[in-house]
Formats: sequence, C-alpha cells, structure tokens
Amino acid sequence: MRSLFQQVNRMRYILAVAFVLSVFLMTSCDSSPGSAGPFVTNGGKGCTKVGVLLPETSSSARWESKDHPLLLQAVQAAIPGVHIDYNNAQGNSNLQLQQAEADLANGDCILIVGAHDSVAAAVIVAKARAQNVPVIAYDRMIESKDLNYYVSFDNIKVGQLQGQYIAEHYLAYAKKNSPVNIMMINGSQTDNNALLFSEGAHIMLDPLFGSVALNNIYEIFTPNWDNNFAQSEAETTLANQNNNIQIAYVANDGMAGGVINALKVANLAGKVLVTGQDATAAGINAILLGYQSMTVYKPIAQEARSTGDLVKAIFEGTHTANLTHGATTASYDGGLIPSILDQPVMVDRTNIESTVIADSFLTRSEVCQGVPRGTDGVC
Amino acid sequence: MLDSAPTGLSRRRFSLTIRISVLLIAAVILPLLITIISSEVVLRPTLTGQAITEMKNDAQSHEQAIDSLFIAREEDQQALGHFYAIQQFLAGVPGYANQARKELQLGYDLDSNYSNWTLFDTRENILLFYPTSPAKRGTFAIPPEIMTQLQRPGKTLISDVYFNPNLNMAFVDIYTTISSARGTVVGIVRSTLLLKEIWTAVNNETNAATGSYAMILDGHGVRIAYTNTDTTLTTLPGTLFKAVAPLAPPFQQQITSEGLYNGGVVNDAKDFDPMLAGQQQNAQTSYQFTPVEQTEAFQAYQVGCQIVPWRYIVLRPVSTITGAASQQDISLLIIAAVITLLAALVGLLIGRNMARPILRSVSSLTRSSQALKTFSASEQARAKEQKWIAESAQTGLESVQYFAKASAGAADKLYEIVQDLGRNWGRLDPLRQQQYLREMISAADYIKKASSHEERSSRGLSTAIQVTNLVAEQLLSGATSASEAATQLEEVIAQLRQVVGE
Repeated sequence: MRSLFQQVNRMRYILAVAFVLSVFLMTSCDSSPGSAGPFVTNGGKGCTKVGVLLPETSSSARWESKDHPLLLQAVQAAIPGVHIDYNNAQGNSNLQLQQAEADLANGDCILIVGAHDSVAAAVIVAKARAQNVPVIAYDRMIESKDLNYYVSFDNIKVGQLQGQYIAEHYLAYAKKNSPVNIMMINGSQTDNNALLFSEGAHIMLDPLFGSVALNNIYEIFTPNWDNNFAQSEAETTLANQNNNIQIAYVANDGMAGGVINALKVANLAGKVLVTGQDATAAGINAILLGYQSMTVYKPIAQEARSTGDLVKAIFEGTHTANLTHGATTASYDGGLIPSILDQPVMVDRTNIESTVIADSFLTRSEVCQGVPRGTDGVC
Repeated sequence: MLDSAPTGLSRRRFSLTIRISVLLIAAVILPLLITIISSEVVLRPTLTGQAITEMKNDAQSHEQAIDSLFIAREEDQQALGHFYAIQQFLAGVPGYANQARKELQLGYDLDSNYSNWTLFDTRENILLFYPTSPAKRGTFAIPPEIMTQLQRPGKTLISDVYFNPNLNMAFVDIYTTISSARGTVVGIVRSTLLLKEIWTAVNNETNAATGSYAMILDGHGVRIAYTNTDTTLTTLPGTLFKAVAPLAPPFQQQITSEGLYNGGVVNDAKDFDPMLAGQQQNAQTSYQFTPVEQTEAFQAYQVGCQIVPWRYIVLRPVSTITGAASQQDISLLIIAAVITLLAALVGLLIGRNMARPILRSVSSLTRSSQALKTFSASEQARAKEQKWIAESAQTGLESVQYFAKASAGAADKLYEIVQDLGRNWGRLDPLRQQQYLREMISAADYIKKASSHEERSSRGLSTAIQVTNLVAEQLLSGATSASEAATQLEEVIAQLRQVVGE
C-alpha cells in the first residue's frame, strides 16, 4: 500500500515539474530576443570596413560610371584588404538612410556619403556619430555640424564657370535688335549644391540681366535633377516664347540632354547655347555634335583620390590638416567642416582632348558616337 | 491492527478523483494564471515600452522633418540672399529691380508652401515683393524684437507663428540679412512659409494608433499645431493657439501688437496644462498624464526641435497601448475557464478509472482483513483450547501414573501379604489369618479403585487426544484460510500495481 502512495507523490512531483516547465516555456515565449549592441568604433582608426553610399543613378551617369569605381579604387588603395559596402540610394533619402543604418549595423567604421538630400542625410551623420564612425560627405554637403569631412568641388566656382561661359559667348547668339533670351534650368532644390551652382551662375549673369544684355525669361529648380522634367520645362518655355530662346543655362549634362531633345523638336538644336556639368560621355558627345556648348569637368578621379587620402589618414590616425589645408565649409547649424574642395574645369570643344580624354576620364569611343571623323581633333 | 490507518497517513478529505481533477486543473490553470500575472508585470510595461519607442520614433521623425524643412528653407533664403541681383538691388544699384524680383520669384518657387517673398531695406521699408504686397504683422512691417536681431550680416531667424484666416493656415516668417560685397547689411529678405506640411503631419497623427493625436508647442508654450478632428479642416481645434501656462504680460502685449497666432484669447486658464508646462525644458522625454482637454490618461512623448524652439508631442491613450494586454488577459481567462472545465472532466474520468480498481482492491482488502480478523480470533480460541487440553492431558497422565503407582504399591502389598501368609501358613492363628485376609481384601479394593480411577483418567486422556486432533485440524484449516487471505492480498497488490504501474 505504501508504494501506491509513493506513486501518487511521484505523480504529484511530475505534475509540479511539468507545471514549472510549462511556466518556463510560456514565460520564455514572452521574452524578447536579445539584440547585439551597436558597434562602437575607434573613430575610424584601423578601420577595415568602409561604407560607400551614392545618391542616385537617374540624373547623371557619373555616379555609377565614374564615382563608384573610382571611389572603390581609392578606398582600396588607402586601406589594404578593406571590405567595402557599396550602395546607391536611387534618389531616395529614406533608402539612403536605411542603407547607412545597415552599414553601421554591419560594422562599417568609415562612411563615405554622397547625400541624396543634404538635410535629410544629417540623420546619417547623427547615427554614425553615435557609434563614433566618421562620415565623409562626398561631393554633396551634409548639413550637420557633426559631419567630419567634406570632399567636393568649389561648387560656386562651377556655377561661375557656367555663367562665365555664357557671359563670354552670348553675343554670338544675339539677334539684331533683339535681347538675348535665356532660360535657366537649375538643379534640385533639395541639393544644396544646386543652390550654390545657381548662386555662382548668378554672380556672373546678374550684371548682364541688370544691364538687360541678357533677358532671363524663365528660371526654375528641377526636382531630383530629373532630365525629363528639364525637357518638359524647356518645351514649355520654348512654346511660351515662340522658340525665341538663345541661351539655355542647364545645371548638368543629364538635364542638358533633355533640353537638347526639346531644342531638337523645335529645330533649334545647335542654335542655342546650352551649358552643362559633369563632363559625361553624353555631354561631351553633344558638344562634339554641336548641340551643347560647354560642360564643367570636375575631375572625379581627383575627388575620389582626395576622399581616398582622407580615408587613409583616418585609417592611420594621422592629421588631415595637410589635406584640407585649413579649408572649411559652413553647415547651417554653425559647423565649420574641414573640407577638400577640388577645382572644376570648364570644357568646351576646344579642350576636350586636353582634359577629359587626356585624363582618361572618357575614351574617344565613348564620346565619338555619331560624330563625324576629325571633329575637333578628338574623333 | 488492520482496521487502523497506517502510521503517518491520515485519511484524505477529498477522494482521489477530486484530487486528480484538482491537480490537473492546477497544472493547466496555474501557467495561464502566471501568464496573466506576467502579462501584468511584464507584458504591459513591455507594450508601454514598445509604444513609447514607436512614439519616440514618430516624434523624432516629425521633429527631424520639421528641422529639415526649416534648414532647407533657411538655405533657400541664404542662397537667394547671395544672389547678385538682390544684393545689388538692395545696395541701391540701378537696373537690378527686375532681376531681383525674378529671383524672389525663384525663391518663392522653391517650395510650394511659400506664400510670399519680400525685400526690406534696413529701415523696414518694403522694397520688393513676390507675388503680392505682404500684410503687416500687427502694426509692424517687421516686429521690433525681430528687427533688433537683424543687425549683423548673414543672420537668419524664424518668427513666432501667425495665422492667415483667408487660407485658414498658420505661417511663420523667415528673415535673413543681406550684405553687400563689402560685408555691410544692405537689407532683409523675408519669406513667409505656410505651415501646411506641419499641420498635415500633425493631423495625420490619428493614423498612428486609435485615439492618438499630436500637438506642437512653441517656445512660449502655445499650441501652434494640434490634430484637427474636423476632416474638412473648416474649423480649428478648440485648444489651438492656446497657452499651456499663463503667459507673461509683455508677451501678451506682443501677441496683440504683432498679431501673433489667430487673434483669439491665447492666455485662457481653462486650457492651461501643468504637465505640458512642466515639461517645457525637456528636450526629449516621455510622460503619462491626462491632458486638460481629455478624460483619460495618455502616454506622451515629446521631442524638442533644433531649428525652432518647438516641442513636437505625440500622445496615445494608455488604454490603446495596453489594449493588447487587456485583450490577452480576457482571452487567457476565457481559455482558462474552458480548460478548467475540460481539466475537471478529464480529471474526473481519469480519477474514476484510477479509483475504480483501487476501490475494488480496497473492498477485497477489507474482506481479507475481516477474514484475517476472524481467523485470528479463531486461532486464539484454538490456542487456548490447545493449552487447556494439554494441561488436562498432563493432569490425566499424572493421575494415571499416580493410580498406576498406587496399584503397583497395592499389588506389592498384596504380594508381601501373600508371601508372608505362605511362609507362615499353618502357624497363623485365625485372628491373624483374618487380619491377613482383611489386608488382602483392602489391597484388592485399593487396586480395584485405582484401576477404576486409572481407567477414567485414560478416558479423559483419550478425550484430550481427540480434542487435540480436532484442534490440529482446525489449526490446519486456519492456516489454509490464512494462505488464501495472503493469496487474495497478492491479487490486490497486483491489481493496484496494474493501476499505478511499477
């Protein structure tokens, strides 16, 4: 009989154990999964994982065809055996933020950011700073005093080169007893560089506007540097002005292509001074074909090299003053960001050979498609 | 002994069936009850924490959006302020008015929420505007406290909030000083920015969660944006442009003189909210309170903006936040009730199945116990009888021995008499002979009596032997019964083992 009671007691213990186990299992179901804390880096020193984030592919071919390979090459040269996480935001600020967050989560300890939106990208800087990850703003300023470095070109100078070209050549497009009409198609208003390009152009053109030597018919900023939007704006302006447009200030080559399309429809291609920027293959090709007048060559290889130099200095923990030479760029919030501002170069049909071809920035085969042999000694 | 419970095992108040049911219910219900308790202790705080995290992200993203908006608009203004024609126009160089106006238009087109761009000289005179001549701010073209701050080059500042009744929309002015090439301030550019995007974001806060809403407090503690439940947006929320704490008299005067807010009563005691007022200095914080315009507790998360002295506050009803926990509790209680019922039924079935053979075994044991008790009593009686018979037999045997000994003594006496008589035959006188004869008769009587007593004793001994045989048979029968009882017990044990297992 005693064994029966022992069995009952054993069953009670089994029930108790089962109960405890079930409670444990049920409570363990409530427990949230642990997450690894964020990486905290040594300010980039000794860093072997670098995140490279570029803004878009739609408005300019440069980002994928030039900046992407050149930056990777520069970073690889700066840090032997470096692991690079590359992303393109495809014109989406939120996507760029997500890409940056992913890079930080993956342990990238230096970020190179070509911001899609100069203001929105400040969040990337804040998040990187929280993990002691230095951020280099590449080509486009990021409006944050916490930004570590800024590598770009003198963007006001870019606009000045464009404006200066117009100022020096507009008379060639003048008609008798008629003002020279200009339409100005600026870049994206969310890109602070676009404002700087416009500011530079106005420095050169406003005196002509003031003297009525030039008549500013229409001026607009183009959301997202959209080439189609630029073409549409040009078409509308040409229609509104009965095709009486002699100058088209266009902020970059991509949009210039759209404007040229509009001019072709109006049978004005080659008869209107069209500016551009970035010295893209299409832009140089358009120059060689006579549709576009000039572009601004920003030696992206130099910009990438400057970035690589900064990455190397950060990696080695050495001073960067000898790279920035004391240059700074102001952020909206009072920051003075150590900067490397490379100089842009004006390119028209007279110096294609000595600039973009000589630098191997572009090849003849890239720029000579459809161009008559012997044109400008390039093709 | 068998009728008493084993030592240390008191009889249970409840049957095994009930106890198994209770154990099953406990095993099933207790985890659920603990889950409910943990829900109260862990889940509710977790849900609140998750909601706070969501609200934090929400508030931060809105704060960042507001900052981004104003940064971009400040950049617009600073860039336009560097445009050559505007600088030349303000510097008084002739011929730049037309281009300067175009550049104002360019600025105006930079954002669809601009309602006006205006150029002032340093004496607050309007020199140029786009698209229409701006209205005064109260009695001023530029309010004095703003004008006093616009004395140095490159200065940009954002005004307090105004309200445009025609557009039914709040707006702010953004001022930037414009310098000449020589660095002296030559004028001021002002853009008027409608807060449509910000109000829309605040109105959309209702999409975040049931009952949630948002508000923005400016640096004076006035609600400058508030979720509007009127989807037609034809009316304004009751607490919009109401202060959360008493305003200083100079600022009340400033509201009137500069036409700030919507011209209504801003400093209204019924709209004061001590909790909101008390959080004025916290850049980022979470707190729980019942807003003055609400009737239930709300969780709030506020984030201070960087560019403007505003606080973006997201509010969500606590009941909504913990709704999932409450719903889970209800679900668990329902599940617990159903499972309790099922467990009770299953327990009853299992208990009954377990108890039935046990009860049968108990019954068998009881019978065996009774049989053993009866056997024991019988054995006791038989043992007493056995003892008595043995004693009787002993007495009988002693009696037989005594009478045998007495007969032998009488026989010896008779032999001696006969011998003596034989030796003295003829010499004995008659008296003596008669004496011998009497002695012989007496010895013979004695022997006769002893034989009679011996026979009786032998009979008694014979009876005792018979009784002993009978008792032995009874003891054999008792042993057989005990063996059968033991066999029964073994069967009971086997049955119980079948029930409980080895």
